[in-house]
Order: sequence, then C-alpha cells, then structure tokens
Amino acid sequence: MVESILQGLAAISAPVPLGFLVFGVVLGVWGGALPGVGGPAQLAVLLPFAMLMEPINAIAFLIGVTTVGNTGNTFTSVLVAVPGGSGAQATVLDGYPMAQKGEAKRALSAAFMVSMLGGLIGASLLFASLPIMKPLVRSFGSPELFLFTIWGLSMIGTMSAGAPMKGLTAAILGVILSTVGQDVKSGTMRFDYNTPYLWEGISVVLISLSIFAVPEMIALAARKGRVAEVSELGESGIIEGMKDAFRHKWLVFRSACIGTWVGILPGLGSDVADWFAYAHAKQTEKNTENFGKGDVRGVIAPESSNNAKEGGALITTLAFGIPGSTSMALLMIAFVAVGLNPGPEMLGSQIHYVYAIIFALAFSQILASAICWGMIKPAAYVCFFPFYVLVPIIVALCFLSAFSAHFSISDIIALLALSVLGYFMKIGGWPRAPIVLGFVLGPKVELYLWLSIARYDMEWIWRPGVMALFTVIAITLLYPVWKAWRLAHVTTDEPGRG
Amino acid sequence: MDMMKHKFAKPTSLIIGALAGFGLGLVAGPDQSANAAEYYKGKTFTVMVASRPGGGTDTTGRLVGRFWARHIPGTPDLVVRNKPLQLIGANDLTHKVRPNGLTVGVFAGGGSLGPVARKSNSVRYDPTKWGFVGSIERGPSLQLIRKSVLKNLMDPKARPVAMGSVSTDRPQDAIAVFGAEYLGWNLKFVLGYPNSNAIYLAFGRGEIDMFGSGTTKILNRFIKDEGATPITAQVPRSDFPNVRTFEQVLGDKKPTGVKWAAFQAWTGPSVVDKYFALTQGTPKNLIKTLQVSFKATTEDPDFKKAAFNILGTGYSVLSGPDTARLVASAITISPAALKEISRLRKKYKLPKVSRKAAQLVAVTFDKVQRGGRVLRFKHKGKAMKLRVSGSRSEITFSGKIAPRSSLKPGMTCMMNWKKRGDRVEANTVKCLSKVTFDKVQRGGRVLRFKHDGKKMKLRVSGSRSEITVAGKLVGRSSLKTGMTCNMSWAKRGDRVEARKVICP
Repeated sequence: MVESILQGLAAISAPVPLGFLVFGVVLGVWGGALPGVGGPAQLAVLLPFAMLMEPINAIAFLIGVTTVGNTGNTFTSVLVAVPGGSGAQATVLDGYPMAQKGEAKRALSAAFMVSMLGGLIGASLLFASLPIMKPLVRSFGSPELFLFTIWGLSMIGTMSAGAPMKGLTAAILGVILSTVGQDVKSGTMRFDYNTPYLWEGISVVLISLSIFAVPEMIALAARKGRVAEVSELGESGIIEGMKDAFRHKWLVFRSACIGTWVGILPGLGSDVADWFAYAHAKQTEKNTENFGKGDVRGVIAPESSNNAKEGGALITTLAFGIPGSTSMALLMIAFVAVGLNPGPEMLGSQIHYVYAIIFALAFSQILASAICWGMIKPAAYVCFFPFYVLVPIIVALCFLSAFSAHFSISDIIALLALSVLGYFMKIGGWPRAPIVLGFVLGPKVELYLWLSIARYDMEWIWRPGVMALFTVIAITLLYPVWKAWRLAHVTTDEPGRG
Repeated sequence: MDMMKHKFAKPTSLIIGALAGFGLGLVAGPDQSANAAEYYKGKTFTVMVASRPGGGTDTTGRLVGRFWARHIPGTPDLVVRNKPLQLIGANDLTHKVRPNGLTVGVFAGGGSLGPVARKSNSVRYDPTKWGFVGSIERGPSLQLIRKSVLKNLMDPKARPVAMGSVSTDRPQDAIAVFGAEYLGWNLKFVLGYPNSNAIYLAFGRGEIDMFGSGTTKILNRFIKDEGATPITAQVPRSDFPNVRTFEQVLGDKKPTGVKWAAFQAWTGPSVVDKYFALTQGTPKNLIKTLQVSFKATTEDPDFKKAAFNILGTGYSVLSGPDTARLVASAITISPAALKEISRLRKKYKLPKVSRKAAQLVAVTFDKVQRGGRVLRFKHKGKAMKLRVSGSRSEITFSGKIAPRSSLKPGMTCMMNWKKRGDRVEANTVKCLSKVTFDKVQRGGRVLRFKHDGKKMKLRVSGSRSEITVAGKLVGRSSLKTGMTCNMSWAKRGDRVEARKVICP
C-alpha cells in the first residue's frame, strides 16, 4: 500500500503532469469565474484533447479542470449575485450582502480558505474511505435517497427567512417548474404546450440567473448606486476572511463532511451540497439572525461543502465506475479512453492511479485557492463600479449564460419571463432560495419515491436506514422549534426582563 | 493484431456494407470532397447524443466523435452535446435541428425506435425521413440474474425477482415480460432508472436482481465480481457460447403467430444499436460525405484501439444504407402485434402503449376564436364547436409542431377529436398547405406549384394519393392547372408524393 501511495505521489509530482495540473487548474478557475462556461460544458470541450494524453497527464489535467470550478465561481456569486455554477447558488445568499456591506474581500478570502480546507478534507476522506467505500455506498438504496431529498426539502423552512408559507409556496413553484418537459420515467410530455423548447425542461442555469442575478441587477439599476454601499473596502478583509475560516473550523469540518457525503451518494447530484451545508449551518449555529444579511458563516458553509463533494464524487466514480454527476461521467469517459478502468479493477491493479488522483485533487485545491487569493484585490473593486457600467455587463453576461443552456432564442425569452418572477419575489419580500431548492430537488424526490414504491411497495418505510433518516428529519424540523421555545421560556422566566 | 473483431455482423450485412461503402466512395469523388471541404472548413460539427453522459449511447457517440473530425473534409471543429432522453433527442433532431449537415444525432435503437413502433404519444418524429450515417452494434443483449435468487425465478411463492430497467423499450424488457408470461417467471418490474449506470449500482446494492446488457465488459464484470449469472441471450453470442437463446429457453412453450410476432416487434428496434442520423431534408451530398467519413473513422487504427478499450471485442459497424434498412424494418409493426404488446404491458403494469388515434377527417374552419382556443366548422352537415388545448392538442403544419394561435379561419386541416368532460377537444390537427397549381402535367401525375416561395414538383400516385374535389373522391385526372387546393405530401424514395389533395 505504502509503495502504491509513493508511486502515485511520485507520478503526479513529476514536472510534466504537474505542468498539466497547473494548466488544468488555471482553466478550471477561469471557467468557474465565468457563468455558464465552467463545469461540464468546459470539460466536454477539453475532453478530446485529454483523451490523447498519457494516463497520468490526463489525470493531472482533468482533475485540475474538474475539481476547482467551485473555487473560481465564488467571484461572481459574491460580487454580483450571479451564481457561477450549480455549486455556488447558496453562496449568493450571504456573499452578495457582504459585498454590499463592503466586505467583499473578507467574504472571498474566507470562501477561498474554506474551499481549500473543504477540498483537502474531501481528499482525505476519499483516501481514508478507500477500504470501506463499497459497503458504505451500497447501504443507500432508492428509499434512503428519497429520504435524503426529503431532508433537503425540509430545509425550506430554514431558508424562508421568517415567512414559512411564502417559502413553501416558492418551493412548490420550484417543484412544478422542475416537472416541465418530458418525464424521464414514462416518456410523457408534461406542461409542454406543444412547444418544442419545453420538451427538455427548464435549465437550472436559467432558474438561478433569473431568481438571483437579474433581479439584483434591476434593483441595483433602480438604486442608481454601486454594489458596495460603503465608501471603501476594508484593508484587513483578506486576513479577516482567513481568520474566519479558522474561527469557524468545526462548521468548516461539518460542512465538508456533508459535501463529501452528498458527493459519495450517486444520484443526489452536485447541486445540492451547498444547500445542505447552508441549511445545516443555519439550523445548528447560534445567533443566526444575520443569515441572509451578510453573515460570513453563510459563505463558509456552502463553500466548504462544494469543494469537498468532489472527493466524495470521485469515490463512487473510481470504486464502482458509477459517476455521480455529469462532470464525473465525462471524467470517467476520459479515464476509460486513456486506459484506466474505473471500478473494482481500479482499486486493484491500478490503485497507484487512485492515489495519484487523490494527490492531484489536494494539489489542485491549494493551487486554485492561491490563484484566487491573488485575484481578490482587483476583483473586489467590481463592487465600486457604477451601476451604468456594471449592470449592462452583468445582464449581458446573464443572457449569454442563459443562451448557452440550449443555444436557443427561447432561452432568452424564458430568462426574461422568469426574471420578472424573480424581481417581483424580491420586491415582495418572498424568499427566493426555496424556489431554487424545490427546482433542484423536485425531480430527485419524484424519481426515488417512484423507484422505492416500484421495488418495495410501501414496505420501504420500515427499512432501518429510512427510519433512521426519518428520525434525523424530525430532529431537524423540531430542533429550531424547541430552540425557539426554550429561548422564549428562559427569557420569560428570567427576572428583571420584559 | 487487429483488436476489433466483427463477431456479430452477418456476412450478408458485411457484403452489403462493403458494396455500399464502395458505392459511396465512387459518389463522393474528388470534386465532391473538395466542395465538402470548403463547406465544412471553419464550421462547428455537433454530435448530439440523445442520452445523459456516461451511458452506452454517450460513450459510443463520444468514441466516434473523438476521431470523426479528422475524416470529415475540411476538418471542422467537433463538439459533443447531450440531450437527457432518447425521445427528446429524436424530437429535437426533427424539429429544432436545421438540415445543414452540421448536426448528427446519436441514438439507441430501443429507446428511439421502440416508441415509434408502439405508436407512443410522445413521438413527434418520423425516423424513416432521416438521413442515416451509420451505426455501431455492440452485440445483442444478455439477461443477467443474481445467482442467489435464481431459485426464486420459478417459485411463485418466493420473493419475486426484481427486474430493473430504464424504460420498457429494450430487448431485455421484452424477454422478461415474455419469460413471465410463457415460462411463469416470478418477476417484479422496477422501471424508471435514469440510465444504465444507475441499474448497475442498483444491482450492486441488491435493489434489483435482474438486468440486461450487451456490453462485453459490463457482462464480464458482473459475472466475475457481483455474483451474477447469464440466464439467456437475445440471439447466440460467440463470447458466451453456453448461454441459451431466449427462443431455446422457451422450448415448446414458445408462442406462435401474433404472439411471437409481438415479441419480435418488441425486440425489433434493438436490432439497430447505436445509430447516427441527420435530420430530414439534409442534402444528399452532405449525407454521403458524412457516411464516407463515418466509415473512414471506424476504420481508423486509433479508433479501433480506443473502441477495443471501451467496447471490448464484440462490436461491429454498419453503413448508412444498411442502418436505414434496419430502421425501416424495426418500426414496422402489425396492428395485431401492437394489440398483443398492449395487452402484456397492461398485465405487467408497464407504461401504456398509446391507443390508436381516431381516424383523421378533413375540415375547413368557419371561425377560429380566442386565439385558436375555439374552432367552429361543419362536419357531416352539423355545426361543431371544438376546444383546442395548449398542452394536449397536437397541431402541426407540414409536419412541424405549431401553436394553436397559428390556426386561422378558412384553413383546411385533417383532424380528430375526443370528449373531455362536457366539452369536445381537438386531439390531432394536421393542417394542409393551400397551393395553386401552376401546371398539371401527364394527366394529373405531376403537379407544379409554388410553396413558401419555392418551386415544387409533386408526383400524384393513382393508388396512394387521396384526391377529393367538392367532397367527392376523384381520380388524379380531375386536377387541372389553376386549381387551388389544400394538400399534404411526403417523401417517397427520391420523389415527393402527394398524400391528401382536397379541392373545393
């Protein structure tokens, strides 16, 4: 084993693979920073080149490109409320308010530090779980995955900012929007109104741009100001952000574990890790009244998890040859093409490649964070751009990103229509996060409930894993109620108070 | 040593393929290559895979895509894009893709042709109109079962064996259904897994006990590492010589007549495995260019090496014309066989085969109200009022989907309808094009007119074209120059033929 580990380390540390790793990380960060460019789209373009490389060079290059997008996409999420990718949606909730308060440097610095730590924790968990990953992954069937998605939906209350009914309505709307198009299970057309554009359903990119980014830009234009509502950025922001990461080290660790776990479970999808971690932070941290208004913990939690999930996703891809996300599916295709065999064989005769992947993952996280730190200072000045410079650029970027969903003019029309909805939600004080969460989780809830009933009828309810998860969900739902009751009780009983 | 072995290609197919390839080579001579090079140079060529990344269709599409650009004259930039479902990809190829030879769809026979064969409501495409570039056959399906539940298969009192599948269009689904029906297999169907990878994982975690696959590497992996054993094969496989075919397993219980025809019809579409197709109306020279380049790609030593890594040894390549022939035969299904399939699907609680739509009748709208929501017309002397639903009514103009707002008074359309609550609702509305004949030649055999600014020449068949003048069926000789009629037409071979001609 030690020999394989050293073999993997030596292979990835050689000058040529290291060069490809650096090149991949630069491309990954750049792709992540441009909404609609990074992630699977970027990987798909680079795949043919990587397939012609030697296996170790392909590993270095592809791990570099694939696993750092969530570090790069923090820039737009924090600075202009444009989620750079599916893993950076929750970061907008507190990142953008921090930028408005003049704390963009702090938010970015904290995000990059925890991205690195989260990525390293993910890599370590990948390393540690190699011997037990098979029974671990196999203990989760469709019923357990259904409960996981329900757990995700139960977080809507947490994200509803004191308006649970509005939050629930928004989430239901998100679920309804997710059902548009052809049903994958039966092939039935749903809500398509004979419009070919709707057959494929609505893209999550469109939803996140129209619900978060465009309404914020309209609001900024209406305010005729700048993103930052203060006159200058604090000089100590970068150091402060780094300290924040260590100040909330247990939150970083917990969020990274959540991210890794979500990554491990094939089928939950890469776009829910940040939401799970954000909701977890809001449910378990003390003094959460500033969440959604620019609390650094609202940045730390999702950013720790979205990089950690890459380690988790690699576990199932390498151990079973089962990709947990689109990016991992593309990565696996490239691995197979260069002669690697994800699956049991990879953990046998090709184990040194697995260790090389783990080291590449760790190096990539450190390198990506270092690159991003170097860019904080110039990037943060985006917050001081006047609205008449920033709004046209960002809105154009939003429309460009939306167009990349299907390369259809209908993407633009859909973005306009949904942006109207997003803007009215914003000015009406409706929580917007639940609509995105409902949209992301809706299809998974439907799929796993369908499979659970098809396989086990209603007996799935009595599975031990399901019952354990039911308990966790009940605790999750009841804990804030109990906390509020206890707080009220203690406050009322305390002598000398109101 | 050549790593690609053509294990499953029948000798006749190979001969036909070779002849077709030779013929294509002659057609796509130097001049045409030069034109094609000029056409493709600097352009982006899209390989549109009709499945999510990671599955067999995606793997095959990307495998070909990796080496294809270098064999297309002008070496265009090649990108691979995914669609989430076979049906969505096929519908998109017909309705969204322009016939410019710059986008090729990659499909699985079962997923894209199965719904056509069983006349699914979700099908908005006609694959016989597409231009076929070629196909890759990975080997027929083998049914695997978990060894530990093998005894449950024939014991109705034991826990049913869970058969997992993506949809119900694959040959393994037909084998399972016919196994349950005629051999008494004790099965439970678990359908709806998003892709093959999800099925493999479900088998690994014990959620399902049976599935089918044609990929040698996958089969070997599950037999060696996951406690699976092959129970039957769709047709004989030389790499699994001891596995009996389903027909052999059925033995004297093999159904006959319509029932066996139903089995063959169900498994028919999978005869075409992963095929590459262009949208209807793509110019012939571009189809031929891509057929030639596809063939050259699959003969490229680099492709063969990569294909060996990914698909194993058991794959073969078919030419475009061969693929077209297989597709045409795969979607032909008799009404009796369709009825039998419907019966079995209902019995085993599989998604419904759509009912046969009511016959279409020609009507001319007197009034179209509320933006196409209400149609008023006369049918058999009675005034009728019909609702048009935005989601349920299917409206097409010259085969293209259209919104209800495009319906106008005076239009003549072929349509049917059904009762929905206390209203009558339009089901299918196929609108005809109004044209004035500039010339009617050879006693009505040839019509010349302008349509959408283009000059058109149509053949009129004595047996297939249906001509009505003033509500009465007439012969083609009744058509005269200067007449204005509502018509529909379709391609038949290299000609365009009139289908319905309704003249006042």
